[in-house]
Amino acid sequence: MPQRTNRMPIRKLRSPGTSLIRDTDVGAVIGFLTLVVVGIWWHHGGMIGFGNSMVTKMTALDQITGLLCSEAGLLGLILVTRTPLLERKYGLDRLLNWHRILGVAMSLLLILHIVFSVWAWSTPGGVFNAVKSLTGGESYMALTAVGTLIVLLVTLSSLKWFRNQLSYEMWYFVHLTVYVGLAMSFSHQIVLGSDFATDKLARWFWVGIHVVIMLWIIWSRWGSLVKACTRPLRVASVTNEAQGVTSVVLQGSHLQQHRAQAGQFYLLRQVVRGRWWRANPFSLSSVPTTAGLRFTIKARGEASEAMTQICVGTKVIAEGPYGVCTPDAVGDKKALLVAGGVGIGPIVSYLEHLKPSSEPIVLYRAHSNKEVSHLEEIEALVKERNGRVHTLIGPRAKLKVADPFSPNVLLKLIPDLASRVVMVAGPESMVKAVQRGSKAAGVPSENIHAERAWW
Amino acid sequence: MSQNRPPIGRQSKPTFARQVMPAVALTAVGVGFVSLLDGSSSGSVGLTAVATNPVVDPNAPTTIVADPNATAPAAQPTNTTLAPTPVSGNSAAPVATAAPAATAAPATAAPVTAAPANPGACDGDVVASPSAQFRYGVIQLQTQFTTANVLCNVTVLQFPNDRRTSVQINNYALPIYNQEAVQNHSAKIRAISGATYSWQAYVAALQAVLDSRP
Repeated sequence: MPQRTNRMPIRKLRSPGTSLIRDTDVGAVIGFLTLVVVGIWWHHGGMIGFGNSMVTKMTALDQITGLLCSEAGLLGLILVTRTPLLERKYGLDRLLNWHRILGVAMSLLLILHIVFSVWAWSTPGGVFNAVKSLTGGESYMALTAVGTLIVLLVTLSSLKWFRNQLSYEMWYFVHLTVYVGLAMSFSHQIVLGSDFATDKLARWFWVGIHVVIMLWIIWSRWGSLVKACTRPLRVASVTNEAQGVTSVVLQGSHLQQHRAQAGQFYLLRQVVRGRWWRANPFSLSSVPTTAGLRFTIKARGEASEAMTQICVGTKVIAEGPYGVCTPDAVGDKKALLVAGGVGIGPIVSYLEHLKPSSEPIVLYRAHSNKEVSHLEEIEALVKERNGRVHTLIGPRAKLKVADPFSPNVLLKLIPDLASRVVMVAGPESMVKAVQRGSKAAGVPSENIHAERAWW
Repeated sequence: MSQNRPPIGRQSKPTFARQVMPAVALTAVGVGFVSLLDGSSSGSVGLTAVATNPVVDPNAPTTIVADPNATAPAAQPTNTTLAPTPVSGNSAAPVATAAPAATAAPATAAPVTAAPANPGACDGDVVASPSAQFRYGVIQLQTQFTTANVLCNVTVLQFPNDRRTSVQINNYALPIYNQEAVQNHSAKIRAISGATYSWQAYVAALQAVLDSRP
């Protein structure tokens, strides 16, 4: 546990506030934006276009796809503002997942928008002339064409296959250029887009909504980074827990102001030459207190390896905390905690937070004994809460059962499984296996909690 | 990851009103906003005007023989008016409005002279072209022929005027196209850079008329 180093009494950090947002609010905002966007189009004769020639049909389609494409883009940007109101309700991983879905939707709409535009412009001059004017002939279209290419490239680089070919940093910086791409394409909407070029009120609404979201991003996304930079933490201790597994404790006087809870994670950024520009997510592995934040890190990739080799005293910028997979989910029920490998970190922090009535059962899956860490700590915590620990160690081929998380095996081990809240942390394949198994064993899906496996 | 998860802390179950109010309020704001939009904007008029006009169909241009002495129907020369300089002694003011009203009654529109090649002889058939449609709207011309069936006058009945750029471009380019068409007695007109789309539609409209002539 972190050592007490300052004179302040050690206390648990305050829990992050509960979000005021409801699902219905999110639905209302999306509905509002769609209503206005389609309304603008409709009001300017969008539907009338369908009754006429090919040109007006294509024009109507090119307008509505363009508008919806922009809407998807704007909503996608809101999701990455890391607004606490949204983050505390849905969790960063889910927001990012929705961001990805919206990104793909935006690009599909963008492609349709391009097809319909070329079609509409190709009367009567032909496709070649249409492409020529849409990539430079018309005012601002050269700028827009480049912006469009950037946006499409960014989406492409985020598709699973391409994403796996790129390093995180490469992908991240390619991804940042999307701001430039979106800004470059904005001009043509106002100058060329029939819905805005000819209607002052619609134009002001459109410009206004872009300005608001831009300020929102600057304030919330980049502002939180600036805030984290002005309140850096320092590495207080580095402990080798097992082979390749290290726990790092961060301290700082600013911790007093942090609001964090077990199970959450921070984006950590070492202030060291060559590393300050990359942030990576790490889960808390103990209940966060004013005495320090503990992270248990396994050297798996380049970034996490660098983190395990960090020196005491290094400045670390911690953005966060993020994540909603917290022990609150257990409530007054009993708990089953499943840890895979370094996923044991967040499980330890959950345990510390659980009431004795939860009688926690911990399933600890690891590939070898050398990987096992925090085991004594867990055993002590579980004993206090009348629970038990099962370890499952060894490569998959050597296990006694083919699938340790099949419903039969789980039920045999834990007869009251269906009445428990299941919390999983570990590699994605294991998380999925546990979700499948416990669902089949009768655990309602709202009682199964997992956040994406962070480093 | 896709599982239902409670938010941090405990959210109490929202009341029905709390769930419905934001949606109702935002819908009201949205509907109010859309209804405030510029309803009579030329954008929608442009599209409705299109509905009343057939697309270029070379087989069926409307031929109207107008009374050359008829006065122009209330054509206000605003900034959207094309104003080729009248050269002949024809009394008509320059007429070329893009308002759909004008196209609804092209029969009464008096032809406007744009540099006629032979002023004395320009008193033959007056023919309105079909509307040539393109991305920015519609161009419709009115042509006049000499008794020898030579194109001697072209005016613009309709052109896209819903946005400032269109007006600027067309105010500049269309009189030049008119002039060139009359000079060449044909649809062989050079495009002016920056006004290619107008040129394409203009040529399509003019060619449709010429094709229909014996």
